[in-house]
Amino acid sequence: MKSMILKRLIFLLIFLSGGMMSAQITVSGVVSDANGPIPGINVIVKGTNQGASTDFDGKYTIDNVAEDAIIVFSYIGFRTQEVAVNGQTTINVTMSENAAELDEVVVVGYGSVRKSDATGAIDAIQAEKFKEVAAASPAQLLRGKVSGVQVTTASGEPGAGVNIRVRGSASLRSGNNPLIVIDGVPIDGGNVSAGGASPFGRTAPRNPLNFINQNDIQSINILKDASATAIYGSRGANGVILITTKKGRSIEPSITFNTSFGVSTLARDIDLLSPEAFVSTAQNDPNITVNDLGGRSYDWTDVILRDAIQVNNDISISQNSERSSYRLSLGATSQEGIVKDTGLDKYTVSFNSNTKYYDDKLTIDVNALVTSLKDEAEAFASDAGFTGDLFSAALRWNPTRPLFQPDGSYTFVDNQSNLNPQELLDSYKDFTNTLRILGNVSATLKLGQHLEYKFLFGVDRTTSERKSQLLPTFDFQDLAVTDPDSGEERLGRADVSTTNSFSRIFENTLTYRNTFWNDLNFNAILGYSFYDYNFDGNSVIARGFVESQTDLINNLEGAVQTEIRIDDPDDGNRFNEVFRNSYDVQSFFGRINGDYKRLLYTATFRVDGSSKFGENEQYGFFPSVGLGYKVFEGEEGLLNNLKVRGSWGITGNQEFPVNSAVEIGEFTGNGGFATVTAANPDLKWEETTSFGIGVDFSAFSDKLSGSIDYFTRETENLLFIKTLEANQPGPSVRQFINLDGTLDNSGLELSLNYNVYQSENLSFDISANAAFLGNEVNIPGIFEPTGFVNGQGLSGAFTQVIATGEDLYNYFLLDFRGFDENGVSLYTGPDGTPVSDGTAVPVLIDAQPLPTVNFGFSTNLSYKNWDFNTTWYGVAGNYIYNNTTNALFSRGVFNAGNNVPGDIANTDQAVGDPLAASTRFLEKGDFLRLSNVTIGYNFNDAILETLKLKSARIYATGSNLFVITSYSGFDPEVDAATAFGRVSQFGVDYLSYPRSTNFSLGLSVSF
Amino acid sequence: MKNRKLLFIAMIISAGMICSCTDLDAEILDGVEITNDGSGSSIPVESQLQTAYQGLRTYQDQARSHIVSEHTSDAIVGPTRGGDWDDNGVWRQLHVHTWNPLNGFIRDSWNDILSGVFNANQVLENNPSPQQAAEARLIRSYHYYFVLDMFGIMPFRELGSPLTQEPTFFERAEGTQFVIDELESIINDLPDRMDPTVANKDAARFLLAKLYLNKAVFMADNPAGPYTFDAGDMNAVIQNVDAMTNTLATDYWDNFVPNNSEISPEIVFASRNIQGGDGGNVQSRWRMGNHYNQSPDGWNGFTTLAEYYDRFDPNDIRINNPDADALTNSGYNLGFQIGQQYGPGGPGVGTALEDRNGNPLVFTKEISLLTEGSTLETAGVRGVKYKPDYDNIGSPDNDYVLARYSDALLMKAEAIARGGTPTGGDTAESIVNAIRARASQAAITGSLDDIYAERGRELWWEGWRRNDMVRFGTYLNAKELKSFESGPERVLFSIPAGALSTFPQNPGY
Repeated sequence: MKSMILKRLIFLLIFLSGGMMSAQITVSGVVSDANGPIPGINVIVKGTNQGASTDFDGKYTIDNVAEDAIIVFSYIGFRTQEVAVNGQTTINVTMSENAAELDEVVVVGYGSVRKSDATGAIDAIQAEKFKEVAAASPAQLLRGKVSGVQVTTASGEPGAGVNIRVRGSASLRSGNNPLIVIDGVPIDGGNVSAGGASPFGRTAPRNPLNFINQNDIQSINILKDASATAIYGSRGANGVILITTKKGRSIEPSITFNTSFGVSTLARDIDLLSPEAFVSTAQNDPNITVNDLGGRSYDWTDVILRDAIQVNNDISISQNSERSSYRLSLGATSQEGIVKDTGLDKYTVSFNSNTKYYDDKLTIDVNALVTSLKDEAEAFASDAGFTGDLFSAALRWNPTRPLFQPDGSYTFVDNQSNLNPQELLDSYKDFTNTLRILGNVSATLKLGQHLEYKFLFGVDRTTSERKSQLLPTFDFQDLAVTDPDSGEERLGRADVSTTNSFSRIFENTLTYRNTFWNDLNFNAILGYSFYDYNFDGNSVIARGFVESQTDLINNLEGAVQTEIRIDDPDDGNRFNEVFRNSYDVQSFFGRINGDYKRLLYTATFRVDGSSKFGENEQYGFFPSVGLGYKVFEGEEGLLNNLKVRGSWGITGNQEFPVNSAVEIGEFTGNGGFATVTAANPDLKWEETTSFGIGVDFSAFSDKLSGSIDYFTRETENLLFIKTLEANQPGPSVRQFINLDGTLDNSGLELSLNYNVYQSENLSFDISANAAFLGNEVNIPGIFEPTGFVNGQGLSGAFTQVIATGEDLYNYFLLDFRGFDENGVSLYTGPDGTPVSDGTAVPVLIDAQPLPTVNFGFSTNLSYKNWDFNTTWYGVAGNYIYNNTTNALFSRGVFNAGNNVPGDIANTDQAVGDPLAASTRFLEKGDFLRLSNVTIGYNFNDAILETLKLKSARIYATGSNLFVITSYSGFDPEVDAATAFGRVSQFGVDYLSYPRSTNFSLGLSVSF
Repeated sequence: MKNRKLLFIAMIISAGMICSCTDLDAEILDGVEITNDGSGSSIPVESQLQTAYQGLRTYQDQARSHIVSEHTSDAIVGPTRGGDWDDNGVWRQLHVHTWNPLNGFIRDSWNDILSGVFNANQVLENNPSPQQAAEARLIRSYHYYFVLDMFGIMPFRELGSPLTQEPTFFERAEGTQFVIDELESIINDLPDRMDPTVANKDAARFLLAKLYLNKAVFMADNPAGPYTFDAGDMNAVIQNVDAMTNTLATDYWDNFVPNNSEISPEIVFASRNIQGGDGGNVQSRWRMGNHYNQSPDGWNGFTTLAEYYDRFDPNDIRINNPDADALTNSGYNLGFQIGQQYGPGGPGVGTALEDRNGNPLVFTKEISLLTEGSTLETAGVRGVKYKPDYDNIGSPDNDYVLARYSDALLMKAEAIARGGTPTGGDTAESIVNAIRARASQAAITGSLDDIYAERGRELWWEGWRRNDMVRFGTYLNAKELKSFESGPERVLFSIPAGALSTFPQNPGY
């Protein structure tokens, strides 16, 4: 009896201390995939940081492994495998690529997890999918592929800025883009290319991802909900995009060469009157006096557009050996724009290496990226106003009027609203050169079995210079300055501006991993980071040059007058003068996560302090919690995997200009001294509280997989600029404040992936995603005009409001009811009847510019060595305000001798009918776009053998082949990237650089 | 061994902690932090005073208070000409008194004038000398006059209060008294008038005269009237005008030529523009009416009304000045332009101009709110109030007149007619006729109606017409292009919609 109890006690003790007391053995083996052994695979004892990497021959050895431990074999892009040791000393494993979605490894903030273990809503796109899309920029790779993420390029210009919206717009001001992190280092998403000013308005911001070559990216991971993004604290409110670059993978040095060649043309045209039609329409109408009936031929596309060529070449060399791996790549891209004299040339050098020392105890990673961009632009200002820009000048030009006079000089009409587009094209030049260096070094040190310390230091340095000029032979209103010596008037203008930015990041993290009681996996990370950002710039405008001068940019001293101050009260960023600013952010963050049997858990926190915030509100706290439960896992039959998850968290947004919280004065250059900011020491970050639940599943033997998510996001302390009016007497600059009330977004996301057919020779997959979004403004007492339009006779006119209880950016317009018997527009009057006497007032319309449905789908077909892929995306539920038609196309404009579409010239509208902002120009913005079609051929093994290649693929791609929409303008994707006045603009078509259709051929080979 | 390992680890960790743990103070690298508590000795008061003077330039603009208020009177209209000048109807709304709180130009006038007040406050917060303080207070009082006249309530900030504190405001009556008291207290610290672009004693007296004359309007229980003018106030008007040291210029147009401040003894207070250099938008006074094909070219916008034009003798030099420079360079007489227009050289010498559609450029008296047909571009009599500076059209020398002595004399005449005691042997009639004599016009009586009409002629397009119409009770009446009587709330502008979170809206809006 006694001995029985004792024996049981001993067994109990042994049982309880099982993890510590079982025998330790050495485990070794070979890891290979279909092609042979793979080096560099991570082999880890689960629940510890004990592990190794496979060597040249795919071999690994781990000492002191507990007999009942589990060994995990993982690497990004491969299906993770777990094998129980069970006393075995040799474990060989075969890894497979093309992981089923749930087994993919996804990168999260400061680490990575398998998708099946994640509690947050995370989507990942791997490099294989990029092959299907020849995108002009990495941001476009996401289009239509990720539910709840809407990517819109601001225009068709090469390098144009993008709006990326993850789960709706949470901010009223322009800070709505997600945080972008490259290899663990957050980069500044702001405008690092020099802005400056030209006579044709500001340049639109450039795409922050212009600096990366698409072929250097291994994966893009999008973190959508709070439990994934809260660890980025005051910058995570709009989602986080994590980009991982390619690293070395193969044993022998591997060289990859990609080349492609493409042609672009205008995607869609508007039906303006041809010269013959113009003459006959004008002659039929006795009320119109039309000049210059001459029967010449003119087509605006011939004057300013061309077929543009893109060439892209890059080469990379990489190697992964036992102790170290590296990858070096060089890329050169030349992308012409479809408008003459525009384009983007890009040269990139990127290098990364990973080296292990002291028995894998110390790992040093180095990443460096150097990019040089040369941007050439023309006079495009997204402006359909009185003077307009090159685009509106070309559309307006009377088609019967010759561009040149018989003596060879340019036809001159006036210097205000009838600019000669050929002369403007030839007289205007605009170059921007940017050099960006992104680099980081990190050291990871293993401290014992469970603990790891990592130190990261990163730098981001950009210098950029923009030079533009307008020749003195071009007569343009208000440009003339009087030479004080001769009294003559001189024309011509040159602008030079430079911007430099420099940021540094220091990060320390401590990671702990352990497994308790065999079932509770526990990972914890604790970190501190310091981020420092500096930027400065200066600009000069020179006016008044002698007519024979043609190189103004490099001879600014030839000008009559030079200025270094460009007053721009609408621009909160004050980039257009001489300035120097800096700010710091310091943060503490931490996370615990792991799983217990079928239960998954994550909790994070972050404390962020920033010198941008007011001195009364310097630190913010951002927690989050996520839980998940694997209802089914790896089951056979109908439903194979089912995971439910939920999350809650608080994230922040701090996108406002530096020094908005303090009062600064400056000398104004004419003897004065004025206040240039309005202090607010209570200024703090915007806070978004998100809640989400989701289901990830796979069914029908893993043929069908997908997720469904429901989320709500409530944003409070919205950053806004107080009206000048409410702060009087006050400085004539705006004060940043945080508003009372909230902006609410909610939605449903669906994403599905279906493997229709799979056999040895043929496979066919379809993926589809859709997001249904809605929003509401719950800010008391707000009625903020936005959606400003520009055009002759439309200054100050606006089309949308942000109003309490309505949708965000709800349309607010005159309600158009046709024309009366005299051809004057009728609008709904105060009592509901149509009136044309000027007493009508604008009303709230049941329409808004943000899509309620975003969807996309792709099809992937492969047959033997061939593959065929298509990608589609579209939106529904939004309305577009056609500013182009409002401003440029009306009877009055036709009467003044300008070209308009045929249906406008033939309406009943009276010639003197004023152009007002009304529902006449409000159109549905639903569309479906065939974004990409790719056909590829992978050379078969026999050919590869003879050519001594590892792989080779040739492909043909067509982008933006057609779009199905009822919108009558150039393109239904119209989101401008600039903010007018105090808020972002959405849904107004400002006549931006036209979009193009692109065909290209490419070849990828690797040796 | 273990110790060395620990040491190595400790070194790496401490290396990681350098350049961390900061106090997160905002660093200002390109400006000066303003603390508004008088301790900013590095901030130059003279420069702030300069900025305060520059705030007076807002009155030169064609889309700000002086011209915006002329639009609401019977002096100017901005018709919509097809595709031009619609601007969401804001100009038409001003003329027919249907503006709403979202009107952009009313809002911009509010912002510009009150920022001018703020800039004057900045001087006062920074240890100014007594004369600098007096100058800043005078500038502030000029701005406050128009705030009281146009908007009623008078927004106010305590000196030294932080910008996050909500501003307060005075009611119209209290505000009027505040400005009167302020002007009376600074008179001795102001310099005598040597240069009218610097705040001076005469400017203070002018403003006091204006305020006492309009006190009945500003302090009335009902802003739309009726007004009872107190004899004591009228005597104060006369006293202040008598104390002024100006005299009438011999030539009316001396007040509006490029070197006006130098040659005219009549200008009391003006906003300085420097030829070829820094200045306000005084060129709007010839560009706003001129057609695109005239020299200098203009914006073909604003015209006067037929009924206003008809109150003048067509040969009155104030609206028909055959200035030699103007004829040679612009082809027209200064003042109002009517009829066929010519290129440089004028009638008989210059080419007969056409509009952009090939019609003869003949300005007609007849005007409508929406022009059309052959007179789309040509309807309406145009005005050129200042002589263009032909030496530098784009950056002219003309200083903009903010206060003029003939206005002061007419105020004295009105004060006498409203019950004040005449002084110096002047009667209302003698003063009015002295002013008319300068323009070679025949004599009229000194009745209130005649004084009102003469003010409309003498001070055309100078920014006082609205104020006069309100005081004489004609502002709300039907007029050309407005066939109905406006509601009584229209004597005051609506407070801009964006300001309503801080200030109350005027009754009736």
